[in-house]
Amino acid sequence: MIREAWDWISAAKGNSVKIATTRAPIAQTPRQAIWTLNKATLYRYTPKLPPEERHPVPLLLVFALVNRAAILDLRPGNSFIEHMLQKGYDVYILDWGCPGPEDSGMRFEDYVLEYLPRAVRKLRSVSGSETFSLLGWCIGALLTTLYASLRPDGLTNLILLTAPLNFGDKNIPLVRMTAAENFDVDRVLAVYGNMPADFIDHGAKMLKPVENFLGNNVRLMDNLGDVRVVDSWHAMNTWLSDGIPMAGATFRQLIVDFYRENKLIEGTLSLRGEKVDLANLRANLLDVIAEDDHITPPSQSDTVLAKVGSADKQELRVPGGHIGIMAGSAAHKSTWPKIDAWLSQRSG
Amino acid sequence: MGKEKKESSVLGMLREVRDTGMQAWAEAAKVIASSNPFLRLQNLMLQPGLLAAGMMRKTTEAGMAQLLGQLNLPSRGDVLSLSTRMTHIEATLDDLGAALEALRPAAARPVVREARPRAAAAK
Repeated sequence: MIREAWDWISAAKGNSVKIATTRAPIAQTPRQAIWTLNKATLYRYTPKLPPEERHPVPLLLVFALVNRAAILDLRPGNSFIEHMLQKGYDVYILDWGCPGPEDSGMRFEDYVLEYLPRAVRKLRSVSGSETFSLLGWCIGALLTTLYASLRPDGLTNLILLTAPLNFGDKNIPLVRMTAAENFDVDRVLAVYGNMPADFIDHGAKMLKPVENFLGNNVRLMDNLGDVRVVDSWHAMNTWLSDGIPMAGATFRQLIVDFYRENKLIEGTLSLRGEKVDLANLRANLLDVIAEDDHITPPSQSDTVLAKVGSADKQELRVPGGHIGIMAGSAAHKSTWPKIDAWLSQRSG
Repeated sequence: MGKEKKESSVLGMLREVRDTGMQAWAEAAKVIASSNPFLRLQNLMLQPGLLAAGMMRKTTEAGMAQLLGQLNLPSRGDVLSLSTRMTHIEATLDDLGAALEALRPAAARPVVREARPRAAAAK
């Protein structure tokens, strides 16, 4: 037992120093910024296949507003973007950047009606393709759903990953946490302007406090001698600890209009006077649901299929959590090939 | 070999006990942390801090705005509104750029002028 402990200590020594003193290199796939507006940047990834072997319909990725999009390109060998490039897609990503105090008044309208249409215009001009596919993850999926309902032109395929769309079930922990009697959103925003990243992170972690504050570290300690596990943990922790604040007005809208009043599903949501009608969403739709998602439980995503106007729509349930289905060690076997199989048939 | 296996099984057993305990603890914590009484208590505990931070921020901002005004320097509000205007200009430039890009193929096409009859030209 002592020898085993000694072996573990010597193997773990280097790894623990690395974790404690460095940030893991993440988001390394080569890319080029092709458009910017305020803090938002549109990147085009360097294609891996020659043009004749590529799918003609480009793919635009839209991540959430509360963490960095680097999770889609975590590290070589465990990167969704790298996988899609190898499969012949022309991949673009819209990085929202980090909002400053000057952006506290930004609302969903700004993202959906100002930023996204301009980014799409640039994508069309650079790719030379009039049609495109959109993939949104978490709040990015909510943004892309709103966009697809309001500006459906040219959008051929829409992939929603763990999309929080239906807030009708008031017993969902995050819905309860943000209820008016449990959370004073106006007071927080009056103090901070934007919703601080630490608050969002704390709220998400409190949904599974023991696992998030203790369990992950205990699992790391158990495997501190295993370079593969340590590198994977290091990359994920680097991403997790690099949260970004959410623009104040957008956060208020998310809590009041979506979490509390469920306006999208109720059909009462308007953005700049335009009514958001899910029946106008006619793109081919793949709704990816994580079966063990505690942040966006399946019931928040699965009702959208009945509401949209798409003729070609499909639900894909994948075992795993909110992040794990796309960035976990099994994602390259369980989720990515299924997304590619669905998209390749519809990308020309 | 046999000794090592025995040692591993002792460690494994300890880990199993720890994991079982942690799992039970995690389930209980999950229920407690998402219960209404806990959430209300958490909200209540947050209020004094937010109140104090809000008051301090207001006081500091008012003082700073006064000081900057006396020094004839732009205030925080001025800088924020300037930033918003810059974003609007950036968006307008983006639209102009896109419009120019759309015109470029038409401009690049050679203009073919129809030759006028000489008599008409002389008139």
